[in-house]
Amino acid sequence: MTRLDVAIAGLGMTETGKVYGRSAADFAAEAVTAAVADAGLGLADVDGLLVNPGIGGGLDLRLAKALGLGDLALAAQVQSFGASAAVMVQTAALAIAAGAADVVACVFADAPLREDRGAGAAYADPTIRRRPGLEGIPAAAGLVGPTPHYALAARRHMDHYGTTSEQFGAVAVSTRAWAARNPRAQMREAITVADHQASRWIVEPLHLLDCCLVSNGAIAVVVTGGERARGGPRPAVHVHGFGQCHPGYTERAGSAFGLVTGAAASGRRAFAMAGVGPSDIDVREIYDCYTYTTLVSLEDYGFCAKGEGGALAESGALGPGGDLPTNTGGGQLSGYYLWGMTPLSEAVLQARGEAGERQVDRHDLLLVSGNGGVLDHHATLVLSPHPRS
Amino acid sequence: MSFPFALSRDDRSAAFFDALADGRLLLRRDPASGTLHGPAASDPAFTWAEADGEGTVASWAVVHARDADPVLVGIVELDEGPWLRTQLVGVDADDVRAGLRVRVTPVVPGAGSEPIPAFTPV
Repeated sequence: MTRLDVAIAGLGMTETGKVYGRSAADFAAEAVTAAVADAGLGLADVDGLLVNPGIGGGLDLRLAKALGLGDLALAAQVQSFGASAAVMVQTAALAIAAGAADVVACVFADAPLREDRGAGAAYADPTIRRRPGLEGIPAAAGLVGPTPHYALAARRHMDHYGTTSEQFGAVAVSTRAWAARNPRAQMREAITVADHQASRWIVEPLHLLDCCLVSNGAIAVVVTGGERARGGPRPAVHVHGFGQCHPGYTERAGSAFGLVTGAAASGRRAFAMAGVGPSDIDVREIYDCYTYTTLVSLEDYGFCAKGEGGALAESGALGPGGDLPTNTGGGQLSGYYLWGMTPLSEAVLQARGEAGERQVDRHDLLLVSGNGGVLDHHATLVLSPHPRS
Repeated sequence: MSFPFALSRDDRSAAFFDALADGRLLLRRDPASGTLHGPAASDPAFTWAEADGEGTVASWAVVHARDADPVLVGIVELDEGPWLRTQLVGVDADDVRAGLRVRVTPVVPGAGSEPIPAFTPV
């Protein structure tokens, strides 16, 4: 295969968080328009559109018509859940490398938050989780929404490797410390491990401060050939590697559920393609739907030995000033929750040197992860402001 | 205890719920290999087979809701191999640990509901 020369040329972000009264499609149109302008292009230059709707739905390929996009060479709705952002970038990169499209806009949008109900209700509404018969047993037993299943995964990790709730707390603390430096973050007040321990249980062993936010908004990126991106107004963010893994855990004895995630194989694939290893990565943007997810993903990517994620978090390495800066915008725990676009958008800002007070000095190579379902779908990107040599 | 909603039966689950009401746990058997799968395994070639109803706790969690009592849930690894994600009853959350031996017990989560295969310490 010829050398991959594809880059993210533009980034568009709407207002994110508790933004009411707008639909997902409306957010998406704004984000795509902004991303195209950020790339120094016009909507007429776009010949590919990939859309990823969130749990609230309301976004589909009618967006093309709403934006007035004509004669698209590529258009698809992508649904790999939390892995979708990285999957869309990979799909766009493959299309561009094959000559099937030149300028591909990729967008996630969601508007699950409503003023009249809590954030948790957006994801754990039993009326949308109810199924008859055998598939309905877990929900009828009380396992409604993703959090109970992540709690079961986290408990397995704690049991197997000795990981503690306080170590999950250390992830919450370092992520919040980064959020304090990000004006866009929803939660910026400093917290301690004691605050984490005192926060109410959601599903034990997960406290409130182990769980991500729920946000409204949209983020889009524009993916183009490297040459076009390098000629644009913003620094090009080159795609050096990508990889996916959809583990297909068996629900039976011997399953690695909770112990090893798709980060392991998708990371290996992305690192191999980029020709680098975990020790080469300067900045990590990890899908952090829960503190546990950050910790287990870091292990599976090889940023520490397997089972040592808790000790790594406790060491302070992940926070500002640490050796392994991780989730530098406050992630989904404290920043904003727009599925895989949360880690991807922060990686683009860091790679371009536009992250303000939270900018990491060394940002030559960045890793982005996506994780969807209950550890069912994983995707990884390796990005760099430099072209592949 | 408070439960989110009632469970209904369909054609595919009728035999399972009938057996469970008697305290018997049915699994799906692959006639080609003899392997036993969880009750929701959907291969139409599989047939029902009775499990011994015992297993060990592989993981557990406590679901807290603002308007209900906490619910103890877990992954039970049946002696035949399959996992079931369901409720643990008759045991305090503080006393649950991985490896705890448990046995199936039907629990009806609410009026008009089919039973769920909950598990309780042996």
